[in-house]
Amino acid sequence: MTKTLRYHFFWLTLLFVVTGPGSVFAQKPSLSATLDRDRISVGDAAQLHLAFEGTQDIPAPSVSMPQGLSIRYVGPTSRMSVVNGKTSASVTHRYLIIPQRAGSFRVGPFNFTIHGTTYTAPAITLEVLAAGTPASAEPTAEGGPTPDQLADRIFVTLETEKDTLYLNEKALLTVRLYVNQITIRDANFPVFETSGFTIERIGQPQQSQVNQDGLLYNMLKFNLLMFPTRTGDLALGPALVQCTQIISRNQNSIPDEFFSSFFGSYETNKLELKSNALTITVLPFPEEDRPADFRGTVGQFSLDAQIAPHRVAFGDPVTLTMQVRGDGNLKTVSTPVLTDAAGFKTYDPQRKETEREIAFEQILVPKDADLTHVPAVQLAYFDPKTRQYKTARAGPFPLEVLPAESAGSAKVVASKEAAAQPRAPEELGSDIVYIKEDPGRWQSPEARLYRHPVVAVLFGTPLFILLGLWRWSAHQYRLTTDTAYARRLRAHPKAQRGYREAAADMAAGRHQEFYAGVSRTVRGFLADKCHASAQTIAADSLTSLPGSDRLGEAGIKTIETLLTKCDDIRYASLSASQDEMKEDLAALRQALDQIAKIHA
Amino acid sequence: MPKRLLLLFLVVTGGAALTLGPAPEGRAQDATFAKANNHYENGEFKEAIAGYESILQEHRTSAALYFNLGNAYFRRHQLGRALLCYERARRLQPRDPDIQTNMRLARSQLAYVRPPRTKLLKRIGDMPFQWVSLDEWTLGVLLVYLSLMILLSAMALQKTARRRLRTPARILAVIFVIGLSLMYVKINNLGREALVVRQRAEARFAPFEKATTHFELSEGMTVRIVEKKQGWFKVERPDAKSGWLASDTIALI
Repeated sequence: MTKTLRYHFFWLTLLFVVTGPGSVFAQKPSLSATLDRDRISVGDAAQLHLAFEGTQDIPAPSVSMPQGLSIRYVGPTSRMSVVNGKTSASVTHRYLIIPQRAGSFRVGPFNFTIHGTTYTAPAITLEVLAAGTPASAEPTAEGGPTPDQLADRIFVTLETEKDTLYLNEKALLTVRLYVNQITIRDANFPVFETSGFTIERIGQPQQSQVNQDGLLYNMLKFNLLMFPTRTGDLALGPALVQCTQIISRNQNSIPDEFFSSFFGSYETNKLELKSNALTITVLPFPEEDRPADFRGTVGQFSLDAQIAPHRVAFGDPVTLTMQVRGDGNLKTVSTPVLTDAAGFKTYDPQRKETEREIAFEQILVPKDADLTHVPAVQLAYFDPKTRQYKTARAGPFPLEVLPAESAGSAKVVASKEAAAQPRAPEELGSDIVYIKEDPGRWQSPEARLYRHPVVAVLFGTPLFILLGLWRWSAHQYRLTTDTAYARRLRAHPKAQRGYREAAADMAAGRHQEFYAGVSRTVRGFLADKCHASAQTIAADSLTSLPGSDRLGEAGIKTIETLLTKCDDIRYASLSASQDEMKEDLAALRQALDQIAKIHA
Repeated sequence: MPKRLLLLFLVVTGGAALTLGPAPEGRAQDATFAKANNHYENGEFKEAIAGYESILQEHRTSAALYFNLGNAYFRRHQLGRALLCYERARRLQPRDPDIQTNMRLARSQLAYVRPPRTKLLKRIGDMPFQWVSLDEWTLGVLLVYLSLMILLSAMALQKTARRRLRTPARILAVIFVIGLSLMYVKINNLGREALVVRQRAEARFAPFEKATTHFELSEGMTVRIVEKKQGWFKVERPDAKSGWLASDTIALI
């Protein structure tokens, strides 16, 4: 960088530091409130802009609306500009105002205190026209009726074909969603606040257009079935329908979902619409003329039944197949009963339910060889249309019961053609397996093997043992591969042994052996701890041993003195008194303690 | 050192095994069981149920007890309760053909709405327990674990055998981890699985009588309990739909 450039850079920086921030902070904070449109119609929305000048550190303030308007926060927009050296910053919070009815509304005045600064802006007026009135034109009474409430433009109704039902009776329930000049999407299936009814859907919702009170509505119709499950005056509804309202931000264009979603010129608003509630009177079944075999079946039903085979050997089963069809609550259909089951052993029937009918299969075994027919079967039901009990019947069915022997002989005399014909698959009866005589092993309901302490012990102990084994194995391996480690490990017991032998020599008065032992013990211990040869250790070379710095000066002096004295007595054939040996034994203990500090 | 460790292992495991002890005596229960069986044979199913239930109240169970109780409920057309008893019996003796047969028959007689499909992972997790009880599975996992520990110990002691034993040890380790995971999931689900014992049960959006019905459950369907609240259970269907059921409509398996 040249000197001139450096000079300019310095002054420019100084200018910015002195004037730049100052110009931003010097700007007086202010608030302005504007609407993108001051005249809209019901179903449209206007945007409120709250622009805070002079700062960007302003959270979205809470804005209250007069009755008839609802508000939703959209988001902030920040702006910073530098004009003629002046820097200005601002943040604009955008809100969507959605009218619920027509009228003239005064929005504001606005007064917020944020971070100790008060921001004020005057009130603004929003004129809401009735739906269908062009917002650009003056409101007019001409044309057809125009609803001015949002609730008149989108609403839900709940209807039933009957308001008095019998218990379990089926009834059609209809929920209609009416929409006029509003774009909606994602309308959910109605949800009910009710108890005492079972409600089922039928098919998909149907869409159509209807004229109601001179207005054209798009209508979505939901069909449902309801079945009361208890008696009394029961409240049904309201039905709750959730959908999303699409609100155009471009008043002049025709709503176009593609462009709106592409260019983001539409806003969405979640709507929760509640219908009217109904009161349904649910009657109990009349006591009068109630058949003994009535089991709560409600509707209009027919009964078909067949038996197979028609000719059986005594003791063989006959399958009675019954089909119940009709209009009503199929779930309440009970099993048709035999009018006289005395001659048969009966088994519990099996039930199969489809959308159109319910089929029952019952196994009968003749108990009497003289039986000529299977008695009729009947189903008692209550017909809510006629308010009477009725009985659907089928049968009786002719049956030939052959004695067991006859059945056998019949097979013998059967013709060759008959024998050659494929036999019908054997039909076997079905029933549960008989109870068990042996109670088996009693146990507590809470008894579980995984809770038993033995299992915890068996899971825990081997793990500790394994860890111990691995550690021991690693130790053994190091002993064989690391000589220094092995010597260090054995040094202590060896030194203790040497000390004990020296003490024994002293007690016996063998001074030559005593000093030889002391010398050997000290040299050996030092050699093992420092991983050196015992022969190379001399009194005057202790400081050259690795780790000898941990001995300290006093320690080295003690060992030097001891080793020198040992050598003098051994090689100069001097003698030593018992007291001297005691002192030297103590010196040996001291020396060993000092040496033990090496690689401790 | 290794000899001492192995001795410790034998002493601990031997001592622990001794604490297992024999099965609890149940002579009083035997007599009640026989009496309830007599009631059943005479067609007095209500009395038979009372007899079997009295044994359960004494905190004694067996697969045969649940089986016979299931039969008694079946005869009284309480198919949900029958299925519940068969399911409990199956968990104690999963390979008993009689239990399986009666379960199938009870299911076939229920006006059964086909239950939504369970998640694949859950089905795979449940598969072993169709054939093995939880105690048997625990024992199997324990045996695999002990074998793995023995192999690892041998590898620690014999360096020359390490390479040879490495593959079997890895296989055992994988089996052990899978086995232990399935066992954990199963144990975690204990006390959370329930069966609908009423003909029709309405699952509601909230735990009170007037709340909106979310969906219905048929008798015999199984659900998972996720929350409890004063007489209500929040349950989850296999397809993850959840709702509140009155506590008297379901029973814990």
